[in-house]
Amino acid sequence: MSDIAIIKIGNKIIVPIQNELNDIIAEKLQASILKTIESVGAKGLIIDVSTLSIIDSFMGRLLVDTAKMAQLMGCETALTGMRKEVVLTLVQLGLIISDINTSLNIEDGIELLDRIIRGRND
Amino acid sequence: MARLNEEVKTILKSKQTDILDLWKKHLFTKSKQLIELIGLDNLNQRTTNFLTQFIDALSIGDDISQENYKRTREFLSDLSQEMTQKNLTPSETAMFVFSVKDAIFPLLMAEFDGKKFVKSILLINSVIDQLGLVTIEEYLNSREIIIREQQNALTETSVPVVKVWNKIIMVPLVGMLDSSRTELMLETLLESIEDTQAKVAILDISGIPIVDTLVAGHLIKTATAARLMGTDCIITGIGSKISQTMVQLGIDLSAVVSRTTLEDGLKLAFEITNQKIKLGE
Amino acid sequence: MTNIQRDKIDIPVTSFEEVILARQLVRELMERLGFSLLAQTRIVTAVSELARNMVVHAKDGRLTATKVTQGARVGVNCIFQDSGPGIEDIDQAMREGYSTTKSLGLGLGGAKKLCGEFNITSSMGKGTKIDITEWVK
Ligand SMILES: Nc1ncnc2c1ncn2[C@@H]1O[C@H](COP(=O)(O)OP(=O)(O)OP(=O)(O)O)[C@@H](O)[C@H]1O
Ligand SMILES: [Mg+2]
Repeated sequence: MSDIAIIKIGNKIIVPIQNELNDIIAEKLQASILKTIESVGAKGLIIDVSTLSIIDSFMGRLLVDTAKMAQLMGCETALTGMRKEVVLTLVQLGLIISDINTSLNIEDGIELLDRIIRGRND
Repeated sequence: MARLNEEVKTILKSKQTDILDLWKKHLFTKSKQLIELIGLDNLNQRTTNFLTQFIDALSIGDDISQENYKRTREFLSDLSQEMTQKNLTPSETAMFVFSVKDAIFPLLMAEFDGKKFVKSILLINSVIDQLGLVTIEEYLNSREIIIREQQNALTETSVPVVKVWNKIIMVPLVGMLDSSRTELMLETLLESIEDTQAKVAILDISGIPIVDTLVAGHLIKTATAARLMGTDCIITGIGSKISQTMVQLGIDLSAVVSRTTLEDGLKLAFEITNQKIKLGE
Repeated sequence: MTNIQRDKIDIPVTSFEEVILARQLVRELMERLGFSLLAQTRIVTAVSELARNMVVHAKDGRLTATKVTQGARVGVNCIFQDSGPGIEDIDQAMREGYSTTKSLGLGLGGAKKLCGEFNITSSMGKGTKIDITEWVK
C-alpha cells in the first residue's frame, strides 16, 4: 500500500510521488514524510511530482500544507518536475500554488535547497 | 502590332542623356521619398537601365505581356514591392513610370514640331500607361501579402521561443496579447521550458502596443505558470510609454521581475543562472 | 478486470479508490477518442473534483461517461449523479472559496472553468446532477 520510497541523501530527503494516490493514501504519505523529517533531522525535502499526471485541489493543498509543516520543523521544501499540462490546468483552475519553492528537476531542487539552507546558516 | 519606328528609336537613343536628366528632374520634384528609397547612387543606374530596356522593348512591340518587356516588368514589380514595404503609396510608385512621359514627349515635340511623331507619342503613351498599371497591380498584390502576413502574426499559430544561452530562453511578444494568444504562448513557453530545462525565461514585450489590465493579467499568469515549472520569468521591454499607462491604470506588476532593456534582462538572467559572460566593452 | 474497450463508462463513486478509478477510466476513454494530453489533464482534473465531491458531500454517487458525436465532432460527456442532500444555493457553491467543510472551495467553480460545457442541477433532499461535455479540438 504505502510503497512510496522516501530516500535520504545527506541532510535531505527525496520523495518521488507515485501517480494516482487516493486521498487517504496521500494523507498517510504526508504523515510518513513528516515522521521521516523528524527522525533523520532533514533540513531539506524534495517532493518530485514528475510522474503525477494530475494535481487537483486536494493534492495541491496537501503539497502546500506538507511544505508548511516541514518548514515549521526547520525543513525547506522544493517541489520538482511539475508537468506542463498539470501547470496549465492548475493555472486555469485558479489554484495558485505560491509560497512554495519549485524547480525543474530533482537536481535543480537539490541545488536550490542547498542555497536556501546555506543562506539560513549565514 | 505597333512598334516604334527606327527613326524615333535613333532620336531617343541619341538624346538618352537629355531624357534621363529631365526624367530625374521630374522625379526629384514629384517624389523625394522615391529618390530616398532608390538612393542617389542607385538612381542613375536604375533610370539608365530602365530607359535602355524600355526603348529596346518599344522597338520590338507594344504588348507589355510579351517577352521584350519582361525585364521592365520585373524591375517595376520589385520597385513596387519595396515601396509598399516602406509604406509609400502606389501613386508614388506609378509616378516613377509616368514621369518618363514628361521627359520624352517635350523632346519629341521639339523635333519637327512633333507632328511627325504623333503615332509614336501615342504608342509610348499607351505602353507607359500599361506599365503604370503594373506598378499598381503589384502594389495591391504585395499589400495583400503584407496584410496576410500581419494577420498570421496576430493569430499566429506559432510563438517563437528562442534559446538565448544555456538555461535561458526568450519569447519576443509581438502584437495584441489576447486570451487565445496568451494560451498559445503559455503552452509553447512551457513546452520549451520542459524541452530545454531553462531556468530563466525572458518575455520581451517591446512589440506589444498597449499593456492594459488584461494584458498585465496575462503576463502575471504566464510568470506564475513558469514559476510552477521551476523557471523564473523576467519581463523586458517596458518603455516609458508602457510604464506610464501601467501606473495610470493602476496595474501592479511588482510580483514579476522586470527590466527596461533586453540587455539588462539578459544580465539578470546570467546572474540568476550563475553564468558569467563578458558583454560588449 | 476486463479488457473490452468501452465507449461507455458507468461506475459507482462512493469511495476514494473509486475516485481514482473514475479518473483512470475517463482518461483512457479520452485518449481513445483522440483528445490532446492537455485536454485529458483538464477534464480528468475536473472529474477528480466532481467525483470527490460526491464522496465527501453526498452518497450513492455514480459516474456515467460516454462518447458523443455531433456531425463530424467527437466528444466526451460525463454525468455525475448522486442522491445526497443537494445544494441549496448553487451560485454560492460555485463561488471560489465557498466550502461547507472548511476546505478550499475550489472544486466546483474550478471544474466549471476546466470544462467546455458544464451544467448543474440540484434539488434539496434529493440529490445533485452535474453534466459536463468536452469536444475534441
Ligand atoms: N455533490 C454534492 N452534493 C452536495 N453538496 C455539494 C456537492 N458538491 C459540492 N457541494 C457543496 O458545494 C460546496 C462547494 O464545493 P467545492 O467542491 O467547490 O468545495 P469543497 O468540496 O468544499 O472544497 P474543495 O473541493 O476545494 O476541497 C461544498 O462545500 C458543498 O457544500
Ligand atoms: Mg470539492
